[in-house]
Amino acid sequence: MKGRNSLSGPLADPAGDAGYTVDHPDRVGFFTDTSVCIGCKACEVACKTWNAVPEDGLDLLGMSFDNTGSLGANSWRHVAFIEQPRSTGRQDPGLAGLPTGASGSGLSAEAVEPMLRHAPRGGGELGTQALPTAQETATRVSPVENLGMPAFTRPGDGHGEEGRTSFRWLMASDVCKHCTHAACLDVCPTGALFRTEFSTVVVQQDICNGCGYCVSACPYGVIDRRPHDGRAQKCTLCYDRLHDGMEPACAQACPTQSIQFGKLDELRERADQRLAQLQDLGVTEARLYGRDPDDGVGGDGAFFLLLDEPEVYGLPPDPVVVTRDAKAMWKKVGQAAAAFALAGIGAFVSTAVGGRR
Amino acid sequence: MNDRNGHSPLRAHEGAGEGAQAHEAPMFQGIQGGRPVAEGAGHQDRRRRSGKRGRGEQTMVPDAEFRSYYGRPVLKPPVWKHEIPAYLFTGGLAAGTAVVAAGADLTGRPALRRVSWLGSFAGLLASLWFLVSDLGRPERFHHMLRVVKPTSPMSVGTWILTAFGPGVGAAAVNELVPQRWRHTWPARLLNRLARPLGLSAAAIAPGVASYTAVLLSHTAVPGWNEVRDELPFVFTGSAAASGGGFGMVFAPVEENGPARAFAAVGAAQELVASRVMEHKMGLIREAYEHGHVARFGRGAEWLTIAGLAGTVLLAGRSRAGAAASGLALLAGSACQRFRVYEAGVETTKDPKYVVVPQRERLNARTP
Amino acid sequence: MLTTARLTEHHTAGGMSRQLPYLSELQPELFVEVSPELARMRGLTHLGECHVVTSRTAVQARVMVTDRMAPLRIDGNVVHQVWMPYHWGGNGVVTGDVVNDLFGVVADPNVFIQESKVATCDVRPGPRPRGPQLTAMISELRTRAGITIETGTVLSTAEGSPHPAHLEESNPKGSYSGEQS
Repeated sequence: MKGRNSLSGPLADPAGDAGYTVDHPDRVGFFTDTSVCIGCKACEVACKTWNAVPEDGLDLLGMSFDNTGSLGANSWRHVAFIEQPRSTGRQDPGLAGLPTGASGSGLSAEAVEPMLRHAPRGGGELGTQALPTAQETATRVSPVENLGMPAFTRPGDGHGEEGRTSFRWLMASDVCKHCTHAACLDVCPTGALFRTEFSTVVVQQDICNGCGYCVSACPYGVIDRRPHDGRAQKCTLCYDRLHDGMEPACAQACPTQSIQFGKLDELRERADQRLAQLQDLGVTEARLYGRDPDDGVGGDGAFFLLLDEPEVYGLPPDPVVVTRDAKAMWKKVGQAAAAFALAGIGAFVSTAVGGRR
Repeated sequence: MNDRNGHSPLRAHEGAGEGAQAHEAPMFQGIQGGRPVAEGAGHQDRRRRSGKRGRGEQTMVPDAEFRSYYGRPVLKPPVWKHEIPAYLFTGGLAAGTAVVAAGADLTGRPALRRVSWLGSFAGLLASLWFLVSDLGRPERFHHMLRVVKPTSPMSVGTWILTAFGPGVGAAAVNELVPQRWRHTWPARLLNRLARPLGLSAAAIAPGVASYTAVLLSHTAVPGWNEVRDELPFVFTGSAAASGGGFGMVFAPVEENGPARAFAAVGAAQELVASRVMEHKMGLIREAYEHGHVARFGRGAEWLTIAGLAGTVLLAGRSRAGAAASGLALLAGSACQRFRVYEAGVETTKDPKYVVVPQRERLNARTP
Repeated sequence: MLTTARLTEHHTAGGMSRQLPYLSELQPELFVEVSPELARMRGLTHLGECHVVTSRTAVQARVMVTDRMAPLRIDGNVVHQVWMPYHWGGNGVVTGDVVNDLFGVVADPNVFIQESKVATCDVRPGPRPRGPQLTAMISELRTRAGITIETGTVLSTAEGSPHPAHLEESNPKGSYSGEQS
């Protein structure tokens, strides 16, 4: 799409498209290389410390070492942990020869997922509400057959399949994607959400009136309304630090350079090289997510190198910005409005013509 | 029954049926001769889904296997509360009654005009109440008026309502001026302005009735976005049915002819559009057809059918019949709004509604 | 076998890190990591309550079933191992049982570093007994195992033959480890 205020498709300069003059800074963003993330959560702590984000729930969530749950109003960085009974590339987890049985990596999800149904908002909030314990949900939930013996006995489970010999632990630091075409920004009715000169997306806290439209528009489930505050909150890409020439707090804190900050063009080049390197090493499942300007949101300002499908990390496989279909939607609305008007006019004309009643 | 990887669970199982003993020996069976777990088949993230976790309920859509992050939702559920579906109803009601009122004004039906303007005004006030009270910061409601933003249906709607409101207010207040003040100059001025202002409001009413559909569809919520083609017709039909229905309840039979016609056309459109919408649904059908959402849906359909039948057969003859039909249409319209709203909320709570269609779409593009 | 180690999010005994909400929310509760094989054997459900029992006391923890724990084969025997972080205590934003209570006061003979990496334990589902019931359970365990408070507490120095340990007089109310509420 060409021209100002484009609604979808590749867009090289979101800030320019939003109206900034020609000498605005280059677009910046994050490249998060999850293949080197060590799951230290320094990014979460640094972000909260810098931005004074409130604590977000003291609950053990049972999702490996992830007790944050998901991104939200009070978690602007979220480190995901996934344990899988497979290996990455040529890594050897050292399980060979041990008297192991079948993998138990499915048990976490089996335990957590039914509890989510009983959580408020279906678990869409973070660890702010204590999930009912396994004992409390035992009568409601039966993830395994009850044999009267302690067991987990799903078919094919623990009944003599060859012992597990592969294991890997995926860790990934998730963040607001600062989309090229940001649905949250497009639907904000107060203008609180705006595109900065760095092409990032920020919520102005003195304007937001908490209508919550951005929450439903975001295809990644990032932005949310802060309880007891009423306003929408999300990662600002440390807009205040960018003004002083600093990098965002999470990027500075990351000890392995998993979170890399810089000009988006450079980051994309670096990511391409890293992907090629990993694939040469035999890690064929490595992929870049959000890097492609032709994807449904025009590419992300914060993109990722993942080692599995996006949905494994809680990311949508093929997100699309809502404005892509906006014209078609409004056209239908126009047709329906016309039908409504015609029905109204017709109701009076017909009863006048047919005899007064 | 095979497990998710297609392996028979009986292989190398140490006899004794399901009474696997809690000691070490059975665990080692797998090392001698068991089949390996397929590479990459992480149990923790594969899930097979049907409406109620596979127990009892038949769904029309086959189970889809998909992966997720511990079953956690991908999207955030809407932060809105019941005020918003309530507003969808009262907004539609305000629009429908405004059209009936303007028409009644132009065709000499004073009783119908009066009740319809008052109904429209009540609907408008209720709408404003619901919208403002649902905000996270209600005192900042006027921030909506900072911008005019065509990419935001909520911004467009704000301005539609702003243009719609004064006309309805003027016409309704004009109906309420007490007799003893009618000769004063403000009252006479208002009386002269009431008709043009009312007509302007009626001209904007189609926008009020229809924009709410794109308000919901213009989100990432699968239950709303996927029905974006039909929802405007469902909502405008519903608004017409409720607008005409209101007139049928409160206006005398001699004057309710246009209200009946409007309501009948609206109800019919709503029923047809809703059926078409359901027919074209993919996975989100499960959200629309289970639990409290299904109850709202059945209520909407039956009440609207009953209201439509009553409108055609009874409402022209008896006041009681008209009132009952009108009430049925109003209730059906409200049920429809709550049904669509709640279905959308449900689709955000389960990751399958996001992951399955998107994964299919992606796989189709990149084989 | 019970072995303990650290989590990234907390610091040593947790006295400081448990005061900080940002760290406490990252690891809010004491948990014990068990292998799927052990979980099956002992009836432990993921995220359920359990208690880890040694001859000194029992601590309550949440169960985390993970592939990262695997049984070992040592001298032809299958040995299960469990792992716990030891950062919890009675005060702070988050609290929990003190894992180091599980170990006997045994120190290496040279510099007296506590022997906290090698202990045998049992993992039992459900909350732990409290107060006198805890004391009773531990006493019973010790009786069955033939353990007294003198077991393994021999002082062995470079000066020659082992000496008997200096033992504190028993607390008349019961052993120290049973008094946590």
